Parts: sequence; C-alpha cells; structure tokens
Amino acid sequence: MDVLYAENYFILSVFLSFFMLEVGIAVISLARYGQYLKKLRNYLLPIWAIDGTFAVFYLVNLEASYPNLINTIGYAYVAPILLAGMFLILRNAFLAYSELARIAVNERRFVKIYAISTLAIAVIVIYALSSSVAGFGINILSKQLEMPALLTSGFNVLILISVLVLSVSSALLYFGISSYRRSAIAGMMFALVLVVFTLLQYDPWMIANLLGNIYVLAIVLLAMTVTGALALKQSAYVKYAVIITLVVSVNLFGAIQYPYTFGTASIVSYENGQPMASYIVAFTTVGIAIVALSLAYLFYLGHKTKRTKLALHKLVK
Amino acid sequence: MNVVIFDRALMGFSLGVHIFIVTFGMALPLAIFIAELAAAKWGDKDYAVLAKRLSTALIVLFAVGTASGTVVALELTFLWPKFIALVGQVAVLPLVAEVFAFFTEAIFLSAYIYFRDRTTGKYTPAMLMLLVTIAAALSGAFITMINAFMNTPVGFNIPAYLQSGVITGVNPLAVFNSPSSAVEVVHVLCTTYLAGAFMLLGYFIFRFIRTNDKRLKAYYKKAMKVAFPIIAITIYLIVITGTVSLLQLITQQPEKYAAIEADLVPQSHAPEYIGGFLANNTLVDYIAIPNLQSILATGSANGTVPGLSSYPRSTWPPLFIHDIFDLLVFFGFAIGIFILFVMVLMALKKDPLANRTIGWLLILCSVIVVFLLEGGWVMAEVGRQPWIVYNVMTVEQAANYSSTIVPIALLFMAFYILIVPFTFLVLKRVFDNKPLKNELVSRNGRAIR
Repeated sequence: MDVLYAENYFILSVFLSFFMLEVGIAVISLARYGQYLKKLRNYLLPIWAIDGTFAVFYLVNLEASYPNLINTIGYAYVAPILLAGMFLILRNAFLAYSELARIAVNERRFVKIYAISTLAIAVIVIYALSSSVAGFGINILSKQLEMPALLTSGFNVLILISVLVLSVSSALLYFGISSYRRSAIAGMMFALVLVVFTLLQYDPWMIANLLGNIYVLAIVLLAMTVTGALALKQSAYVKYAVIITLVVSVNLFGAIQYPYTFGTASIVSYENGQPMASYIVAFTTVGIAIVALSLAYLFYLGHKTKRTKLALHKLVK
Repeated sequence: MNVVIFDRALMGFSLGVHIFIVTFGMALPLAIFIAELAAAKWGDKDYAVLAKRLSTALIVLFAVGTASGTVVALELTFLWPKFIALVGQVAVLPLVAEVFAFFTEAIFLSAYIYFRDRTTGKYTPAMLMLLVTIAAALSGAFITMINAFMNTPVGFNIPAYLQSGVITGVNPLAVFNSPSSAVEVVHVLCTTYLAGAFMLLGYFIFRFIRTNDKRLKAYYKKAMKVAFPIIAITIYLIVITGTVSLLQLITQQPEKYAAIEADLVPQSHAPEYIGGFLANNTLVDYIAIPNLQSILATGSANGTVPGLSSYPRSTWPPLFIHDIFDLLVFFGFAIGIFILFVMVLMALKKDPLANRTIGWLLILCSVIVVFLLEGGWVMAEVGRQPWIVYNVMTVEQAANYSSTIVPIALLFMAFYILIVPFTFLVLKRVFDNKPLKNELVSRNGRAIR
C-alpha cells in the first residue's frame, strides 16, 4: 500500500470515527433527550470540532493526493454533497445556538434540529462513501449517479445499516451509558458480522482479499473484544478503546479495498505525480506535528489548571 | 438554461456570505486579544467583560463560519472540478497548510474558551487569543495565495499545458510566491480586519449613543478604544496595497486594469474616467480628468496605459467593475479622510463623540465598509472573467454542467438568506438574556473572570 493512500485513509478513518460517535449522539439525543444530555454535552463540542476539522482535512487531502479523481466525484456527487453541505450549516448553527440557549424549550428544539441534520449528513456521506467503495449506483464512465440503483443497492443499504448500528453502539459505550452496555457490545459485533455478510454477498473480490489477509478480521475482533471487556468492567479506558477500534476498523476496511475504488478502477491511476506527492506527505507530516504540539499544550494547560486547583484547595483547607 | 450561471451564482453567493462571516472570525480574535491584554496589563474589569462577551459572539460565528467555509471548499471541488484538479496538481500546498492553520485556530480557541476562567496565568488568555489571531490570519493568507494563483498562475509549464493539456514542470512551492501573492495577502488581511473592526466600532457607538447609563457609556468607550486602533492602522495600509495592486494589474492582468479604468483603447495622456458606462462600444456619461490616469499609473502624462481594444472581445471583463471601482475609491477615500479627522480630534484631546453627528457618521461608515469589502471581491473576481485561472482556464471550461445543480443552488441561496439573520437574532437574544450591567459588576464589585 502506498503512503498517499495510507495517509488519506487514515485521515478518513479519524473523521469517520468521530463522526460515527456524533451520529450516535444524534440518535441518543432524539430517542432519549433529557436522560443523557448532560453526559453527552461534555464531549459533544470536542467531538464536533474534531470531526468537522477532519472532514475539511480529508477533502483537501483527497484533492491533493488524487486530483484526477476530483473530476469523476465532482460530477457524480455534486447534488448529494451540496445537500449535505446545507445540512452541515444547519448542524453547526444549531449546535452553537443550543450551547447558548438559556431556555430549556429552545435548547431541546435546537438539539433536535442539530441531531436530525447530523443524521441527514450521515446518510448522504455513507451512501457516497459506500458507492465509492464497490461502485454500486455510480457510472464512472459517464460520471453520473444512478439514483434508484444507488439507493436500493443491497451493498449500500447494508453498509448504511451496519454503520448506523456501529455508531449508536460505539456512542453508548463511549459515553458509559451502562443500562445499554450489553446491547451495545452485541450491536458492535452485529455490525461487524453484517459488514462481512455484505462483502460476501456483493463484493467477492473484497471478501477474497479479506480471507487472504485474515489478520485484518482478527485485529478488528481483538479490538472489539478489548472494548467489550473494558466496557463490562466499566473502565475509564473504554473511551480510548472505542476510538481505537473505530479507527482500526476503517483503516483495515481501506486495506482490503486497496488498490481499487468504485469497484474496479485503480486508485493508483488517480494519484498525484511527483514532486507534488512528496511535498504533500511532507506538509501533512509537519502539519500533524504542529497540531500534535498544540494539543499537547492544551493537555498541559489542563494538567496545570487541575494542579493549581488542587493546591488552592489544600491551601484553603 | 446555462448551468454555469447557477454554478457562478451559488459560488458567488456562498463566498459573499462566507466573507461576511469570516470578517468577524478574523477581526474578533484580534479585538479579544487587545481587550485581554488591556485587562491583564491594567487590571481593568471592563476589558475582561468585553473580551468575554466578544468571545461568546466568536463561538457562534466560528461555528457558522466553519460550516460556511466547508461549504465553500465543497463547492470549489464539486462546482469547478477541473479547476480543483489543476490546483491539486500544481498549487495545492497552501490549501494543505490552511487546514493546519485552521486546526491550530480551533485548538487554541477551545483552549481559550475552556481555560479563560480557570487559568491563574495573568497573560495566558491574551496569549491563547494571540495564537488564535495568528492562526486565523495564516488561514486567510493561505487561501488568498490560491486566489493570487488564479490571478497570476505559476508553478508549471503553462505554454506546454495550453498546447497539450498535460501538466509538466511542476514547482509545488511557487504558489506561495506568485507575482501578486504578497500584495494581495496584505490587502485582503487589512480589508478584512478593517471591515470587522468597523462593524464592532459601529455596534459599540450605537449602544453608546442609545444608553444613558454612565457606567455603560464608560464601558462602550473602552470597547471603542479596542476597535479604533485596528481601523486607524489598516485603513492606510489598504490605500497603499490597493494602489500597488492596481498598478501591478497593468503588467499582470492588463484587461482587468483596462476594464477597471474603463480604458477602451491604449493611450498616453490618459484621463481618469469617473463614472460612465458602455453604450454602442463607446463610454458615455462620464467625467474625465485630463492626464491624471497616466500620471498616477506611470508617473508621467506621456505614459501609456493599456486598453481593451488590444485584446479579443471574448476576454473583456464586464465593464460595470469600473463603476464598482469608482465607488470603492470614493467611499474609501471619504472614510479615510473622516478617520483622519477623528484621529486629529483625539490628538487634540477632544471627544469625537461629544458631537452625535460624528457618532452616527461612524455607524454609517461601518455599514458602508461591508459593502466596500464585498464590492472589492466582486471587482477582483468579475474583473478576471472569463478566466478562472488567468490565461490558463476559463470559468466555462472548469464548470460542472450537471443539471442537478440548479434546484440545489436555489435551495441553498434561500437557506443562506434565512440562516444568517437567524444567527444574529440568536446572538441578540443571548446578549439580551445576559444584561451587560450584571456582568460589569459582580456581587463583590469585581470583574467576573
């Protein structure tokens, strides 16, 4: 697997992992608004910020790594992506409004609009991504979506269902909603089985690739088992385990898809040429280092603030 | 029906909205930084309250601005796929760098919001906001570099590309230093800060005039002291960079220059045309000041300026940009002279707001600068037509012709018309629910930090 592909898929995996958590939050907010809101609120903004920035990061990295692909996806996906863009503004705006809403009625209304917009984006994004994997519902020669085929393709529908189940299960585990712990673990496993079943039914090449690299499945299973065990023990580390499981799962999905996109097109043929490709890798690496340093400073501030608080507390005592 | 019209309309509309929101996104961090610095240095609670209230506005506008920025990025990709494919192969590095500047901005903004009231470091909030300000400015600079590339493309073998359509001789770093890049970056940053700071100033003056409470009046005066220096510095930099930018057009984009100046033919002793429009290939209804354009452009009345007749008619930009330019120059200079007058009053230790008319005029200026900012962008972008990348790719060549764009474009524009005013309505409600006076004086009479 080449560096550009691995880097691009890694960025996609971070975006998708946090976005799935957000989708889970959206579903939980709609189903049980009052019950878990406080628990969700603490993490909602950081998660929203991470997946929002990673979405842009992914888009720019895609343009930089695969400029020749832009022609195809630009023509084919223009309508659904612009629609998703509209929901994106709605989602961001209403999340910000809900943060500032002083009246509970308004807050509830704003959160619901935020949740519905997030779900709408999720459906569009998952359909777009799943069709780009196996090519169901898209004619890459004419660069057009075939809407009925896209919406009714078993592959796309089953992937959508498994991602939604995985999103809700992951969010339930991430936020430590204990009453649904066992169902969430079962949900995670169900999502994995459903993905394997979908590949078996609709994409023989990918399933052959998966069976040829069975360690991929083993790693995902191991990650899920560790997450389940930590969740059952009610360990605080379950949050990290959930994120790692999601990131690993998406990356390994990328590994079994390589080197094809839209089912049969070679992704390598769309890659940027040299010297630009090397510069993109270098810029991305330096950029990630800067972001990592900034985040480290953020954690240092958090640590320092906690220590100062403790010292003050002792002093007062 | 020509789909490209909808591509253009949607892109223009989205950019117009995004530019307006981003103006706050860039100016607010700078204003908050100054307020935090003043609060830390002089221990003045009014500045601390000001910073806190401005940061509330920044959160909402950052959230909406992030989305509108993402939408612009999506539209660039999906409405102009061939253009982005070219940028991806030749000039994409500023976009990659911009993502990281944006990341840094988001991280330090989160740090500021979370730690502002928790940190014990006196200058920590100011320093965090300084980092947000720098990251936001870098973000703007990197995006502007892409625009500069569109005006003066570099970094690949253009003649070979025009002949064969194959991109060769790529120099990925050249885009950071295209011929128009430096001046355009400074000009864009200054105009953005000016417009943002002016809108803040206008709001503060409006509240100052409307209140009779002495405590609140004192607060708004201090708030004005935060916004005014930004205006006083940037407005004169804009005059310099604007002039340099216009002069650069003579060699870099002569058609744009000729359209801006309404020069139909190349000529020496060129007059400066004020007003006028094209009728039957002739400029009518204008005032001409003899020789002035040649003197301003070349330093001599004998100097020759370019004219549109030297270029194929199909590459002429629409001539209405000449009238936009006249309005920009007229209002720009009027506001510049007015600001100079206010500064003289302040230097003479006189209170400019003792005279209400001056206050209302400054409020009027704060509205006008928004139109000037948007007008400047319209002139710059329409002035490059029919090119999306000057002399390399036309807008028509780059456009997406999918007919599905039409309904979405209409829906999108309607949606924007609703969401932007609604955002400001929510902000108004938030501030109405948090009376300023309560924030200025806490129970123990100290500032709330």
